[in-house]
Amino acid sequence: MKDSLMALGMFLMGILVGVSGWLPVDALPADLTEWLLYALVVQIGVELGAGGNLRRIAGSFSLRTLVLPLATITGTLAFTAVAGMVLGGWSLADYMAVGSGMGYYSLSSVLIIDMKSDAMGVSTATQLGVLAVMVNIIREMTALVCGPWLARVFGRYAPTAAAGVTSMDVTLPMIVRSTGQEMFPIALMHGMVLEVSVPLLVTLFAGL
Amino acid sequence: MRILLLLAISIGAGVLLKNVRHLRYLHHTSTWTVWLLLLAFGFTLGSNEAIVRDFLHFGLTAFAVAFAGVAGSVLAAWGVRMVIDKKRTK
Repeated sequence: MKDSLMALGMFLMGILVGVSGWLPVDALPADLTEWLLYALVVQIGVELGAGGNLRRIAGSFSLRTLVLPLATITGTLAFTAVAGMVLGGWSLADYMAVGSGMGYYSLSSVLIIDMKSDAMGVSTATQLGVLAVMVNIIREMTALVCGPWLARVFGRYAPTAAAGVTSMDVTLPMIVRSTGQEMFPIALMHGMVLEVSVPLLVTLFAGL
Repeated sequence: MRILLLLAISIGAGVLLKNVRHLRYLHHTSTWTVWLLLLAFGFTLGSNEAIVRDFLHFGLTAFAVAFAGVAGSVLAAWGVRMVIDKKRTK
């Protein structure tokens, strides 16, 4: 609990400092987050390698690891559909296209703007693309900040499912830290399957 | 791809360095790195005027759709865990 609260506190403090303008935008190196992510990946990688469990971890790759990405896709689409019906404003297919991003904000927004521009005009399509960026950034941040809490309440697969595509890169260190090294191959496979499925799903729903 | 490559190299380095005693501190340093990463992520988002403006415009809808996606996937994952754990305990 302490780790989750600390993570949330740090994230909110960062937003507050950024919005308030206490620190100039260029006070920190532009690629600081990238280098911190690399530093985190190196630490997690060395920990994994030095842990002596590599053979057991590699052995846990199986067809069963495909069940989790399928569950993530099904759960995300089902609940996004319900949210779309309640919220209104956009069509159900538009909401499904946005939700299908599964954390992959760059690709999903570009695909949505590209595919929707002819049907709804560039301006409206761009708004939907911006919504896709927002939704998928919030998903990634929620997975990063709430991962340890989700693992405790909903079990070891929950942080991976919440992370979506990012379970294979940005949120992978957090997943391994909060759920154990055994989740490493499952999170990796999960991210890879979703990375393939995102363009297919976004294209499918944006084309409806 | 770069992250996966870095991860593979780091795992190799970990295998070679597994007898180094100081590696036990990695658990603490990685916790602090996560916190610093979130602080930097927050600053990057908060200092980007376009993101803040879009957020004020779409924020509520974006939060609702994002949380719906997270809730749906987490509940589905919870179901997967129940099925797999039940099979294991039989």
